[in-house]
Parts: sequence; C-alpha cells; structure tokens
Amino acid sequence: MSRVMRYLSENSFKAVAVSVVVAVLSVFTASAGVPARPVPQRLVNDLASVLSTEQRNELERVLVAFDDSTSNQIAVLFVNDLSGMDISSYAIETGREWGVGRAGYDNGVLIVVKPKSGNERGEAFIAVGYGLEGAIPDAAAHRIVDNVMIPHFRENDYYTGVCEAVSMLMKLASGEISVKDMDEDDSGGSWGVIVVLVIIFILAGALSSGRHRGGGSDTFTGGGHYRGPIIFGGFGGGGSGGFSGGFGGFGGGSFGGGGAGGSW
Amino acid sequence: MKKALPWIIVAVIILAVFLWVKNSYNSIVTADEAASGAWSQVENQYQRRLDLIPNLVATVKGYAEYESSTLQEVVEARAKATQVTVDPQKLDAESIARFQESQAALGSALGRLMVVVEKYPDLKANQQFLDLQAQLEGTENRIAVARKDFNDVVKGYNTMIRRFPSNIIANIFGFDAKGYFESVEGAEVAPQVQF
Repeated sequence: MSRVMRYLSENSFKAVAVSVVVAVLSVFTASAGVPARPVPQRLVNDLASVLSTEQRNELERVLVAFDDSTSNQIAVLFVNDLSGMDISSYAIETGREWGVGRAGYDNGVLIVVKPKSGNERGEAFIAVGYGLEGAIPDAAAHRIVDNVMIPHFRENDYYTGVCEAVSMLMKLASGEISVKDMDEDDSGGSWGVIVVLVIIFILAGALSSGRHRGGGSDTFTGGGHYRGPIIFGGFGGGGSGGFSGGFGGFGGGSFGGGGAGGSW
Repeated sequence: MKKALPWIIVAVIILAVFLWVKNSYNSIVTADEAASGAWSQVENQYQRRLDLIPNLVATVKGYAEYESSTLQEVVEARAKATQVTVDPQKLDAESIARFQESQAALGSALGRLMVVVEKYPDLKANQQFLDLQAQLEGTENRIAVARKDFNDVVKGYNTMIRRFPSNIIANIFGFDAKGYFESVEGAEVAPQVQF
C-alpha cells in the first residue's frame, strides 16, 4: 500500500512539476516580446511612429479593401525594438500570435519594419503565410525588400517604401503578376507610385461606398466586387473619420517560415 | 434482486475502467500522430534544403572555381545528411540527435560557403544566385519553425505519457518518450570576430 502511495505521490509531484514548467514556458512564449494583438484590430500598426495619421489611415484603407475583396490579409507593423529576436522569427511569431490571414487558408502576409535608429541597422521582413507561399515565393519577397522597400527606407521614406511593397504584394497575391514579371515591374520607378496612388483612390472610393455594410463579415454584399479593385469604379470621396466600417479582424492564419528580409 | 446487485456494481466498474482506458489510449494515439505529423514537416523542410543544394553548388561553381574544397565539403555533408533518416514511428532521442548532427554539419558547411562567396561580386550580382540565397534563408526559417512546432507537440506527448494516470496506459501499450531538437551550442550566439 505504501508503495502505491509513494508511486502516486512521486508521479503527481512530477506531474505538478511538469505542468508548472509548461505553464511558465507558455507564459514566456506568449510574452516573448512580440506585441499583443492590437485592440481595436487594425492592419497598420505603427509602434515606431514613422507614419503620419493620414498616411496610416490611407494605408489601412487600402489593406482593408484588399482584405474585403480577396480575403488575403496584409498587415504592416513598425517597431523600434525586436526584443532580442531575429526579425524573421519576430515576424513569424507575431503573425501567428495575431493570426494574420484566414484560418485554414493561411493567406496572411505580415510586413515588419524596424526603422534605422542611431547606429542600429534598419531591418525589414516580409513573412508570408503557408497559403501564399506559392504566389509569393521567398525570392519574390526578397526582391521586394531589397529593390522596393530598402531604397525608400534609406531616405527615411517609410510610407512610400511600404506602399510600393504592398502594391507589389497585392499583385502577386492575387495572381495578377508572377515572379517572372517582377523585373519589368521594378524598372517602373515613378510609375509604381502612380499605380499605388490610383489604387488608393479607387479603393478608398470602393470602401466608402461599401461602408454601410457591417464590419466583421468576410462575404461580399455589393454586386460586381469580385474581380479585384480595378473594374469597379466610383471615385467616391474618401473623406471620413476613423475606420467605423473597417477591418473585420484577423482570421487566425498561420505562418510556416515563408518570406524574406533584409537590412540597411 | 439482492444477488444481482454485486454483479451490477462489477459491470459498472468494468465499464468505467474500459471507458477510462479507451479515452487515455485514444488521446495518446492522437498525440503520437500529431508528433509524427510535426516530424514529417521537419523532414520536408530539411529535404527542401537538400534539394536546393545541387542548384546552389552549380551556380557557385560557375563563378568561384577556386573554392572547390568548400564546395566539396558541402556536397559531402549533403551526401551524409541524406543517409541519416529517422523512423517516424519511434522518434527516439538518439536517432533525432544523429539526424540533427548530420544536418548541422551540412548547415555549417553551407555557412562557410556563404562566407567565401562574399569575395565574388559577380556572383553576388547574379539574380539566380540571389534568388537561391533567398530560398536558402527562407528554408532555414522554415526549418526553425518546423523544429519549434515539433518540440511543442512532443512536449505535449511526453507530458501526457509521463503523467498519472495516463502513464499506466502508456506503459501497458508501450508508448515511449520521444526526443527533442536541442538548440545547438553556439547557434544563437553571433560568431566573434577576432583580430
């Protein structure tokens, strides 16, 4: 009998010890330094204060509209501190923690930018969810970081760099262009900015016309939205405060390590 | 009626024991399968790295012919790593350690190759090489993620088969603890530059 008792107590002690370790570990991994999911949820999170309010709202509008029309979620995060992690694992952890992309489709992209500050190098990483790894292979993400983002970031123009990267990612994610077309696209120079501006205008119009539907649903209501932003028109005035009808929330997508980054 | 009562009690106890065994057994099997699944993801990502190497070696060879010894090391380490496989049904600590060792040898050979190619600006300007480099980096990230996920799943499984009372079921049916990926010494520490 006493052997049984000893067996029980040893094992339950072990069990308690193991569960304490597990609990402590899970607390640590949850607070390993990646920021908590933003409340209210938004796609553009500027924890480094490099964007103006207008820029942030504008980018948010573009990304929300893209989420609404294709269900692919592209989120942007600026941070000053990676809490000692590689930017790649930081981005992947954050993407998983927030659940960027839809569950089951894993069609999220998270752009993390750590602006250059003092003598610390700036770093950028595009984490691509499982479901988009085919459309946005690592090589493509790498070229976007090196050829599209970093040249602007070097001049402290974080907004343009991210906007151009986002427009490229949107085209890749919706299958409009493939990696092979990217070289020709890169040479566009100012053309890229024009495309971004046009897309922003169109999407802003589309969003404000679709605003009366409630947030949170990922189905379509208005007719004709289907083939992406270009074919439906209406430069409706985009002027409005806040994102009352905006982002429906992160969908629980996961990341497997796809994507690429760079530093400057 | 009086005689039937003990039998009813026995029947209830037997049923309770059966249900408990069934539930414990099934959850261990589920955790076991989850570990095998996570392992196959680990293997996929390592395989992806193995598949990238021939292309990488061919590309580097065209530009950096004087680095044949470094290239040779990569090719040999790859050949060795290809031979080490792990039985996904067992996943014991020893075979995982051997697997990890052979893959780490390949990783460091690749690391040396990536250092020596820094001397070749033509190669660094080659789009094909840059793409391969991005793919290789992405693969390393995927390996890291797959390993972490595997460790998490194995932690759950190992906890389950060691906890009372499911450890009894695990013992009876012969479920053994599985191995983890250890973090390689020095992997997290940036290399020191000595003058």
